[in-house]
Formats: sequence, C-alpha cells, structure tokens
Amino acid sequence: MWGHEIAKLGGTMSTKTKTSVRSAIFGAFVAALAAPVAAQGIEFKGELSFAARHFPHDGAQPGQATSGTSLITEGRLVASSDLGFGQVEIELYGRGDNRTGSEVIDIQKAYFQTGNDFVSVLVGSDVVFWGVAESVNPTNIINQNDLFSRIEEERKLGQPMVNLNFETGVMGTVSLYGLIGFREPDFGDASTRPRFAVLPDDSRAMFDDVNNHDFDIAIRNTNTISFSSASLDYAVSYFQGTNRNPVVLPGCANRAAPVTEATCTAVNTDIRNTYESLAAGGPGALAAQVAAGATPATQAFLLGGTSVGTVPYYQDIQQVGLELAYASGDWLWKFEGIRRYASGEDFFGGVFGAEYRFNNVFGGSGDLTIAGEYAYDDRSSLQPITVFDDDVFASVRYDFNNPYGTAITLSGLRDVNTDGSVYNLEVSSRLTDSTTVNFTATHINSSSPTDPLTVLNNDDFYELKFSYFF
Amino acid sequence: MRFVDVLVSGLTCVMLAAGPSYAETAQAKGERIARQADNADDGFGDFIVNGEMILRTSGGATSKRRFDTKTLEERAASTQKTVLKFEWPGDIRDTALLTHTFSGREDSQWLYLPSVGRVKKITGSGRSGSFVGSEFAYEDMVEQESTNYKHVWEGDERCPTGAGECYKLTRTPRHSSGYSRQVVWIDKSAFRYQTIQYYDRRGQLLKTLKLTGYKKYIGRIWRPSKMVMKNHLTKKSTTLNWSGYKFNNGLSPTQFTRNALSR
Repeated sequence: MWGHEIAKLGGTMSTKTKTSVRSAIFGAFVAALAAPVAAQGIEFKGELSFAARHFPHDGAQPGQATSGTSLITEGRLVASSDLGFGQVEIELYGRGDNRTGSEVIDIQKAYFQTGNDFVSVLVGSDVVFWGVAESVNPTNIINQNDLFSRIEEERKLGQPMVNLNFETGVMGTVSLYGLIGFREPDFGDASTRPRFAVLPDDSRAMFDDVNNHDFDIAIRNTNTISFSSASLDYAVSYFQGTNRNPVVLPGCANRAAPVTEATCTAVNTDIRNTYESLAAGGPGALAAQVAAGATPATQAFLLGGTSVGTVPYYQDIQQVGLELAYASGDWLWKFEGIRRYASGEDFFGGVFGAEYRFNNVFGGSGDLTIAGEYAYDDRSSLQPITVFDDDVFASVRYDFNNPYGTAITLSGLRDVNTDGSVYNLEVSSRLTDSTTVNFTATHINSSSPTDPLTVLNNDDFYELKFSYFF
Repeated sequence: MRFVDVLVSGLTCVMLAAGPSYAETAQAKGERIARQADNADDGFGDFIVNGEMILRTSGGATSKRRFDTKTLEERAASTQKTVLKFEWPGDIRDTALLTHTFSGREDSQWLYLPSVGRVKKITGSGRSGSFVGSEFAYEDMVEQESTNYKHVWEGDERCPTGAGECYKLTRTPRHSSGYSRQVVWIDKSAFRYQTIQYYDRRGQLLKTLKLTGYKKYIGRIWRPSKMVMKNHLTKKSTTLNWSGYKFNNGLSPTQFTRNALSR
C-alpha cells in the first residue's frame, strides 16, 4: 500500500491540506443534524502520536529542509453517536512537522448514516477504499491523497458525498456515489520534504470540465463467489469526474509585476488549449511538447522567464476498474486494473500479484507472509506521472503473534527499466494496551532522469514514533 | 419449527439409545455424539455477545482484549456468518473480522482495517495463528462444526470440569489446522463441550481448554460464560469471559457482507 503513496509523490508531491469550504459546510450540516440528539450519548475516542524523523541527507530541491530531525505530532479524534434512527460519526485528523512547517488538518469523516437490511444511505464526508493490491491501488479514486504521511501509509482526505448501498443478495452489493466538491491537493512549500521538483501554483489550477468539475459520480459492485475449496471476491467500478492527480503544465504562475493579470490569463488559456490539442505519443517531455505547440506570444513569455512556473491541470476522466482476489488454501491471488479515458487517449494501469502465508514458522508461533506483485501502466507523457509503469514489488512480513502484536515488515519496489528502487523496513510493537512504538527506515535509490522517483533520491529517512490511544 | 426440532432430536435420542445393541463402532459412535452436540447447538438463529480476554504470562503479567461479536446461522446453506469487532487495545480498535463458515468447505474471511477504511480478503490458513497474541488460535474461536472433523469415541468418564458424566472423543481435523488431533469431553446431559485438549503437529499435548458457567438461552441453547485456555509448553494462560448474550436480534445476511463490514 505504501507504494501508492510513492506514485502520488511522483505525481503531485502534495503535502498540506486545505479543507475546502464545501466540505466544511457539509461537515457543519452533518454536525447540525447531530446536535439535537447530543444528549443521547456521544462516544469519544482517539490517538495522539509523537515521531522523530531523521533525514540523513540535505534535500535535493531548492529551499528544502537540510539533513536533520523533524518532530512530528499527529492526532485523531473520533466522536460517534447512535441516534436510534441512524448513526453520526465525526473524525478529525491533524499533523504538524516542526522543521518543514507542513501541516494538515482534515475532516476525515463527518457523516450521518441510516438504512435497513437492503439499502443504506450515507450523507457527509467519508474515506472510501477500493482495491486489493499492496503496492499500488489504481482503482482507488474516491478520495484525494494526503501524502505528507509516512510512505507506507495510504492516507486520504475526507470526501463529501452522498452514498447509497444496495444489498441485492445474489448480485452482492451495489454502491452509488455522488461526490460533492472537488478537493485539490496542496503542493506544499519549498521547505517540504518530500516534495515534487516543481511547486505548481494552485491558485491558477485549471479544470478540463470548466463548469462542473466539483460533482463526480461513481458506482461499484462487489460480490463473492464461493467454490468447494476457494473463494473469489470481485468488484467492478466506474468513475466519471475530475482526476484526483493533476497534470503539471508550464505556464504563468506566482504572477508578479510587470506581468499583468490579462497576460497571465491569456498565456495559461493558450497553454491549456495547446495541451488539449496534443496527441498521445509525442516526442519529448510534456512541457517541451506544450511549449513547441503554443502560440509565438506564449513561447516568448515562457522564454522571458518572469512569472514562469507550473500550473496544475485537472483532467475530466472516465475510469473503469476491476478488482479480483482469489483465496485458496494458504494462497491469495490478486489482480487490480483500470482502463482510463482521459485527454485524448485511453490507457491501462494494473497490478497482479500473490501472497503466501507460512503459519508457525521457525518452530515458533509466528507467521511469515510473503507477497510479490508486478505493476504495469502504459500511459503516455500527456498523463499525470506514475512511478508504477513497469515495476516489481516484494514484501516479507513476520508476525510474532505475541501479546504485543510485534511485527517486522521489509519491502522493496524496483523499476524494471530504470533500476530506481525503494526499500522500506518497519518494526512495530505494542508497549502497553494503550501505547505502541513504530520504527521505520526508508531508502530510496534512483538516478535515472526519466524516473520520477529520482526526485526523492535524497529523501531517505528513519523514524521513531510513539502512539497513545484513549 | 423449534418444536419440530426438539421432537426430531428427541426421537433421534430415543432411537440412538437403542443404538449400542447394534454393536456400533467407535468411529460411528464418535460421529453420532458429535452430531448430537451439533444438533443441540443448531437453530439458534442469531446472537450477539461481548468478549473479554485476559492474557496471563507465566510471570503473572496481564493484558486485556475486548471485542463484540454477532453471529447469524443460515440453516438452508448450513452457513454461519460472524463479525468480530475489537474495542481494545487501542491500536486495533474498530478492526473487524468477518468470517463465513461453511459446512464441509473452507471458510471465507475478511479483515477491516479502520485506519485506511480497507476491507482485505485473508486466507483461511490464518486459522492456526494466535488470536491477538492470546493462547487461543483463530480456529479455537469458531463454532464447533462436527463435519470439520473425524471423530472416534474413546469411552465414557467423569467430565474434567465436574459437570457429571462425559463422552470422551478424539477428533482429527479434515481441513488445514494447527493441530494433529484434539481430545474432547462432551457432557451426557446436554451435549455441551466441557474440555478440549489440543495436540500439536508433532503429537505433543499443547493446550487445554475448559468451558464453564454454561447458561441456557431461548429455552434450549447452552452457552459458556467462561473459557480458560492453558498452554502446557509456555505456562501462559488466557481467560475468555463472555457476557451479554442476546439471541433473536433479527440479524440479516446483508449485515455480513464485505461492504457492511466497513460500516
């Protein structure tokens, strides 16, 4: 799952979160719904963590924090209440880093839910996970990414929605989603680690679907088929709306005098039109293709260098997804893939793999789980960047099965073409029933200029984290 | 329906009481007793219950686990569906395990991980692993379906728990298991499992489980309120206390789907 984060790191380098006005309104709406029944009893629970994250190398990007140790504070508070006719749940999440200044405050959940045995309705913000693979989840598209989190985590931002679930029996579950409000990722500050090589100007974000980029729809059907000694889970999904990851285009960004607003707008409009007229398979990097196809005035502007930077462009996409998970004996086989229709091309992205579990290995009570996956993606340079174009993933996890829940996980991802690689070691254990300790070490090794992972080459880190649950 | 069940099992008992005169083999008798224990437990419909585990190390240190479970019996398909949701310790709070148990077939299992909202399919082989670090394995926690074992009757003797006379059976698992065999004591008065001895794959006595504090619900279903598992090799033990049994909650199969697990 951590690999997914890397994909997004390569693609957007988003760090901080802006809670959109819409989602705040939505949260307030749900909270108002809950208020009259507050007296009926609200359950509170949460966690608080402190981590020291050490970067042994200076950041490679201009302005990035140097080598040294960040103190990261993280907290989560959940309030839930059963109203009798439905449930309300509110979950707030926050995180801050004392050295890079990166911070996140997010309403992960703020929903009201009700229903009967055949249909359920959820109104408000929620986090929805789609996918079966460990390295990357191409089907997982409902929520925006929050990437400042540790690499192996897959943290998302809450997405306001109206969600209907129909339990059909023999056809499984059919879920419909109306996604209200598009949440842009925050690209962070110059000091943020890790981050993308460029910092797109999100105040100049452009949308493929100009008029309706903040209402998206999705549908998913999940079901299980049982055989005599095996079972198959499948899910088919469809998403239509604004892509969560932007394409990063050259253009007028962070405007300053003497560039006028009118010039800036004209340049970006031309950039946008040029991008939309490009065909897949063009030579060179996307920025070069856009510059070559732009009007002479825009070309002159880009060469001028004043107020020249990058802007995010959010495509309007359609995406069909398929997820399969087949369990037989100690084996678990997985496939997850998408066909995406975006910006004049359609492409495939997918991952195939297996997991095998050895029980009571080494003469003890521990379990060893090994997993291997292969990820492939045939998108052109017109699309948001992915690390997972032709990559092999492997992981080994040892669960001690002791009262402390101690586990050690070692995993690696390697690009077949560029040899860019990421290695991750995690050791976690409970200290008491309400406290845990985690140690994470991440090593990134990538030097190929064509591999987006190379941007992270200096971002190896070691992290020690203590968490308290209440 | 329930009356018919009682009548049928009553008739079965009468017929079987005459059984030994046909020189029933130890295997046939073992299978019959295990089936009767199944029948005594079948037809509960659905129930919810709270579990509390106290883990004790050989040195006396303790650690607690709290969870609640809901179970639905689907009689037509002879299937049982269970959701087990953790309340404590904090790091696994709201983690939930969905199990579909089929008679004579491998189970299907899913784990819900609340931190990422993910429902993950897991292999049935995890059954032999420890249940959250306790002396119970996952397979010790599921319902005792007789069709999952081959049984041999060993004799009759006093129940080790002091609950009167017991049948003593040896059972060997038909599916993948962490055990080579188990010895079970089932009481003659109500066909309740009283004691189970677990032998590891090398044939060594590993653990002993004692089930006590049986109470009768909805007029005929017996459930233990206390289960103590002792590990003879490590000298550790786990006490599992069940409380708040509620039957006939009107649970529906749609509450036991992958999607429902994440709600």
